Amino acid sequence: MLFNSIEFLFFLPLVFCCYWMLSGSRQWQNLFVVAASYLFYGWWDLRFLLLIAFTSFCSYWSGILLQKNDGNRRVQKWISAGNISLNLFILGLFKYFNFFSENLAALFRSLGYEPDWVMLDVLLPVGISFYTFQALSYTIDVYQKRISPTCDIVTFFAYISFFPQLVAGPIERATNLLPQFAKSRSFDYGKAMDGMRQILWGFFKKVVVADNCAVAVTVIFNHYTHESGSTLLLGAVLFTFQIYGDFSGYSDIAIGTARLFGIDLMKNFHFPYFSRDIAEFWRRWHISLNTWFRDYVYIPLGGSRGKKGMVFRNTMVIFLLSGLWHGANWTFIVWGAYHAFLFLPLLLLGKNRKYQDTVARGRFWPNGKEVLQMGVTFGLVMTGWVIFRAENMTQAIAYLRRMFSASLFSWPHWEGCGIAAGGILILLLVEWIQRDKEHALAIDRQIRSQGVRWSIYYVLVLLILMFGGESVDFIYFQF
Amino acid sequence: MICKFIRKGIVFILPLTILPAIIGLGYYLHRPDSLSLPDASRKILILGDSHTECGINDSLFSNSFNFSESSESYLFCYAKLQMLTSGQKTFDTLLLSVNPRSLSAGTHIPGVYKFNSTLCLLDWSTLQDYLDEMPLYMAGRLLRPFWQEPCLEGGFLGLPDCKLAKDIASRQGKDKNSCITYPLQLTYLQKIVRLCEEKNIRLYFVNVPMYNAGHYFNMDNFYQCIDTNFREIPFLDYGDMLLPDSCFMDAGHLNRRGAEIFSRILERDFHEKREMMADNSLK
Repeated sequence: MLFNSIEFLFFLPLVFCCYWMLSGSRQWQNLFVVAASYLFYGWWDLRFLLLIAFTSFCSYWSGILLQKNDGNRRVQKWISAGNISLNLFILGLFKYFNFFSENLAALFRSLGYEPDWVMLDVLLPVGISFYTFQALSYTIDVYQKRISPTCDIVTFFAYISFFPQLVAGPIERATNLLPQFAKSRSFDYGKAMDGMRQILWGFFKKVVVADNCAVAVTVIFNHYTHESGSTLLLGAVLFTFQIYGDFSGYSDIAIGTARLFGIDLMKNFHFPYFSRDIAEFWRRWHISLNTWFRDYVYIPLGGSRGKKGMVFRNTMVIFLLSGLWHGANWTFIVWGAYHAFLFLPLLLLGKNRKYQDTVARGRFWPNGKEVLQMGVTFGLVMTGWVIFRAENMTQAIAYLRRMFSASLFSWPHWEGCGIAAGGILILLLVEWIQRDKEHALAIDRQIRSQGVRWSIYYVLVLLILMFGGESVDFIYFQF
Repeated sequence: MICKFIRKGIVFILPLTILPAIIGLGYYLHRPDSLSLPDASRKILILGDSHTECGINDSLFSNSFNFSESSESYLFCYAKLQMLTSGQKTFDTLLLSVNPRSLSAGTHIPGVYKFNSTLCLLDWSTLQDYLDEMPLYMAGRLLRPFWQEPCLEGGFLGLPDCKLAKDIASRQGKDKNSCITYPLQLTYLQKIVRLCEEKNIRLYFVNVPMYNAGHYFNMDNFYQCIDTNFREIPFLDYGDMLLPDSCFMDAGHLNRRGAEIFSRILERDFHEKREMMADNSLK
């Protein structure tokens, strides 16, 4: 079930009303969350439910076993390693088996052998990367005693399957989400209203910006061999905003929806295109995944302590894994490596934490240096997105080569980009003004007049209804 | 507090639901049951797009009434035909413009959902199809029924100019139109065929002369579509007819002079063909 679908339009109010009718009993409320979430997830394919139930049960049971073997660290290590291996095996089987198999076969062929390999014809379950990482987070946190394991299976299943963030994140931590399901929740009017605002902004980003950009991006990327460099540059810019509008839009809808149920999810994006360097960009983009890799991979490997060689290795590992997490294609791995090489100089020079505050804080206009920094960072990120979007490395290289050719200085083909351009301008303006707020539409304290606030909401609703692009699946559903 | 939240939600959503209801009411109140041709004595109705709008002069093509409208999709042609046949039908023949451009007209051509007063004539099912295709930024025009009387729009447009050379120059280097049939156009063309059968109207497809059509359109795809779907409909195909350059407004349309010549040729051929068909039916 998609957020921007008629089914969800009926599903959400119904679930909302039933949820709060059960507020007298936390257990019944959690059970209802599980039922609603399984209905939401099963709408794609009923077979997916078996896998998520299995993953949830294994992780839950590993928590119980860890608790039973408290004091025996060696056994606990085996239990957590077993559960982590099982989850990664399932993820690897569904997502990466064919990729590695094909590449290994290609390697053997290049050596003159013709392998007769088995290839799997499997359907990739929606959201498997997200809930698997969420399940892993629980096991690791219990092992490292950051959280006590839960004996309440319903609460645990609610934590794994909570429908707003089930299929495309944010990837929640057990330390944040599980305690919220473990305690009673009461309706918070202010939180719910702010949640609705965030949902509205999420829909604007997805439906007006991302979906309209997608139309032009598809045409440009499919015909890149015939287009001028300037048109390819336009395509790259549009894809940069498409992926941002799509993914951050989804996250906003997920976070806003969760707030309707009294649940606070972690922030996943914090205006990343206003970043002054790559390090800042990675603190603002897909925050839940990056912090997951930082806490569960980078830091255990040694982090940035130790020799420069170790730091280099650790950084490369997490960026390559981050790329690989996105999918089984060399383009994602190269994209990860590309960002690693952009990040490493800052890290090795100790400048990766230079920009912790909001750009142009207290001012409306950024100064020249900030504009240049944001422009350069945007350009570097945009180049990476071309690699990310390409179907294979051949296309990525050809696209970039053509983009940076002499035809870059010709007039691009603008036809059909008007609405996308308008949406992008509104997005940038609103997010710039609100860059130090929790989300772009957190205006209840700035604008006291309800009439003015409602006018803004109505304008956004009408923009969504009137300029909504052709419905395109959320990009991150494929991960 | 939750009741306050739900109440506020309902109050917010209410205006958004009232507006479509008001628009629907506007259509319901303004839609006539039927319309008739201004001149009931003419028996041949001409419908279609700018090709017939510019190409057939109904003063020279006897007994005809040209109700073609530039960029008109078959959805609107169907709506017009429905309105004109709901009440007392005064015509018995329909000449419908069918050309490589009309069959492939899709969302990239704004005229597929050309907005005129004919919008008020659509029945609910046709209106739904229209709304599915219409870009949402045109939604504001749905309020038109409130101040515009529904009427039939169209008529012969005799264009005086000849801008053929300029048009040919502007098409240089562009790819041929692939003529992939647009589904909605095909659907409504089939509906028109069925409606004509139902109402005993003799239907003819007409392809008005174009300048070097094979150079700009994939004619194989066009003819394949006609062959596959409309083999039984008589097709007056003048697409390749050679006319002097001075007869063309642009590569797709005849000008007034071209329309004059073509209308006379059509007059002669059409009535000959009808006599031939009448003879065959007697035999």
